[in-house]
Amino acid sequence: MDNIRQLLGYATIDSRENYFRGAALVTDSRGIPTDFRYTEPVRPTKLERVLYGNALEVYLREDIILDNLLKAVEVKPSLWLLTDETLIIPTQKISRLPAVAIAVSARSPLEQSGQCEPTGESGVFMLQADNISAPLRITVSPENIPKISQLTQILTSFAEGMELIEPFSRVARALETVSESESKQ
Amino acid sequence: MAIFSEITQKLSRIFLGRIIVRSLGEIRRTKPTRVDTHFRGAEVESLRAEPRVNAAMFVQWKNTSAKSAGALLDGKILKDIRTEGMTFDSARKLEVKKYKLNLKRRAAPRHAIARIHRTPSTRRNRVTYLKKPLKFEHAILLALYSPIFHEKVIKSALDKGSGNLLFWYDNERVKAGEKSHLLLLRVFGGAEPLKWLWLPADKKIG
Repeated sequence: MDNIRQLLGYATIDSRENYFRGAALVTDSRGIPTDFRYTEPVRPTKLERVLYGNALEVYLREDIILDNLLKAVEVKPSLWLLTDETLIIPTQKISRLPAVAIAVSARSPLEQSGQCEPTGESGVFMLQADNISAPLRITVSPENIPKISQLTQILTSFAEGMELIEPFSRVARALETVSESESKQ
Repeated sequence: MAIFSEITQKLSRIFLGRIIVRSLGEIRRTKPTRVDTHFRGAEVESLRAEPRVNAAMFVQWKNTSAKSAGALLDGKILKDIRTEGMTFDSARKLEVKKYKLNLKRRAAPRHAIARIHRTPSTRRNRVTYLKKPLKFEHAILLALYSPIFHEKVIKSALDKGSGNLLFWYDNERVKAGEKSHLLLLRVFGGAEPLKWLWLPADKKIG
C-alpha cells in the first residue's frame, strides 16, 4: 500500500465543566501535520444551559464543534482517529469517512505486527500495529466491522512511520499553548 | 435575725438534722435555681411562612391607571391613595428581550498549522516491549525510540521525567530519508557514560 499519499486524521474534543473546544489534525504517514484546526472555546451561558438542558453537551460536541471542525478541514484523510468512542458515528456522518476510536491497551503484545483479534465486545478489536509496542484497542461502528481488515491494514501501514496514538498528545499540547496565549490576552 | 437562726438550730436538733429549715430572708437571699442542660437551646420558630401578598385576585394594579382604578374602588378609599412619584401608564407594553443563540458562530474553527509545527513530536521508550533483549559489548540498552526519520530531525530533547523523547522535524525538507530506531546506551568504562545510537528501522529488533 502506498502510504505516502495517504493521510490520517485526528479529531478530539476537550470537554470540561464549562468549556468545550475541538481540534482536528491531519498528518501524513510520517506524522507530519498537513492541516490543523481548532475551534474557539465555547462556554455556554446559564441561559443556554437551561434552554438546551441535558442535550447541551451532545449538541455542542456533535452539531456545533465536530461539524464545524470537520467541514473546515481542507485535506481529507483516509480515516479519522478518535479517543472518544461516542464520536465515531457523528464523525462518520459528517465527514463521510470511516472513523476509529483508538487507545493503548495494557495487554501484552500479540505475536506479530498487523495481527488483529476480536475482544468479545462488539466492534472492539486488539491490533498489534508494530513489533515493539502494546496492542492498540480499536473500536469501529457496526457498519465498519466487515471492513476491519481493510482499516487495520491502513493503521498498520501508518504505524511503520509514526506512533499511531502520539499525535493526540501533540494536539493536547498545542491546545494548551493556545489556551495560555488566550489567557494572556 | 439572730432569734430566727437560734430557732432553726433548735428545730434542727429536734428533727436530728433531717429537715433544713431556713428563714424567709435567707431564702430570699439565695439565688434562683439555675438549670443547665447539655443540650443546645431550643429555638422555636413558626413553620408558617411570612405572610406576603403578591397580588390581589379581584383586581390587577399592573398597567392600570389611577383614574380607572377609581371605578373599581370605593370613593373614600381612593382619596387615601397617593401616587406621588409614581406614574401609571396604561399604554405601556411588556418589553420582550431578544436573545441570540449563537453557539455555532462561537465555535468557529481556526487554521493553525504553524502552531502544530512548533509543537514537538514525542516517542515513548519502547525498550520494555522488546521480545529479545539487545546485547552490546560494555553497554546496556536504556531506551529505544522508534520510528524516527533521522534526516528530518532538526532538534531533539529527552524529557527526563517521563523518559519520552521530544523532537522537531524539518517540515520544509522534502527528503525524509529512511526511518530509524534511536537507542540510548549506558556505556561502561567509556569517557561518556551515555551514548546515542541510530539504527536503521529495517533492522528487525522486535
